[in-house]
Amino acid sequence: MIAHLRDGVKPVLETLHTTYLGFAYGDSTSTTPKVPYYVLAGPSWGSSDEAPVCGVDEALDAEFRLTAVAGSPEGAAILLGNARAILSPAAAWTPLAYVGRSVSVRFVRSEFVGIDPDLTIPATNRHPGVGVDTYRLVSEPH
Amino acid sequence: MSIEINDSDARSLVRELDAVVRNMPREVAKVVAKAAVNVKGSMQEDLRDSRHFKGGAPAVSYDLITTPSYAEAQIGPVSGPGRKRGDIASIAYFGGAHGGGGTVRDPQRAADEEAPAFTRALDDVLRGLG
Repeated sequence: MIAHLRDGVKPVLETLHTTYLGFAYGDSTSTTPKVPYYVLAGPSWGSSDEAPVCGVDEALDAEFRLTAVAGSPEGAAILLGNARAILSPAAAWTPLAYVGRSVSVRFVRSEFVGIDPDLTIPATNRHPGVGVDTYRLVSEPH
Repeated sequence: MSIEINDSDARSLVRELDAVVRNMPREVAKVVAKAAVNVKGSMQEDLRDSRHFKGGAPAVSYDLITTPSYAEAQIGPVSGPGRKRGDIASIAYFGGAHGGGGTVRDPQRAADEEAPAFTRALDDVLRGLG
């Protein structure tokens, strides 16, 4: 899954903004990375009710989460909308370029948009806006 | 020549259907509300079990939305300006500005756990009205 996020999803999002995998680190001047940015993470590895009934296949069916961070909650919502427009336009299955496998992603649901009260953007002295969407990724060998 | 039609059975059926239509939304709304209370309780329990996010538990609430033909419950932490507990709860579930996902169980799991009891209760309502 990590390889799919790194080599399949991340390059697409990088065309919009800086995208981190797993965790967004700051730099020597601030613990908060420069906004706006995305963070990709895989919270689950597929649902048990969709497990194969026999044998072991090489398919991957899992959900992943996309966190968007901006200067305000409204900005985070816009970032999530921009990501949906290229990852899953009209909430449809969308193929991703990935060597050796057939990979598609689809928007599942929006989780929340709000602020992170634990962090402060030094330049604005405000809490960053954070939004999270969940996507589903299906991958099969060619 | 005249023809007499006895439509008393049809009228009786109409009265019964009227009663079903009048009563069903009320009964279904009760089922939805009970499920919402259970899911809310489960979500609060998950948050209370977290050392860092137990303060977000009181923010979990639900809104019941009903119309004559519809019942819906929206369950979750109430966030927004001045609702810091709700913002904390959202981060508990989904992670903050650093990303990486939260440390408290996905609320979808609480809803999934309640689904069988919810379905059974709805089934009981429909059978009771039959």
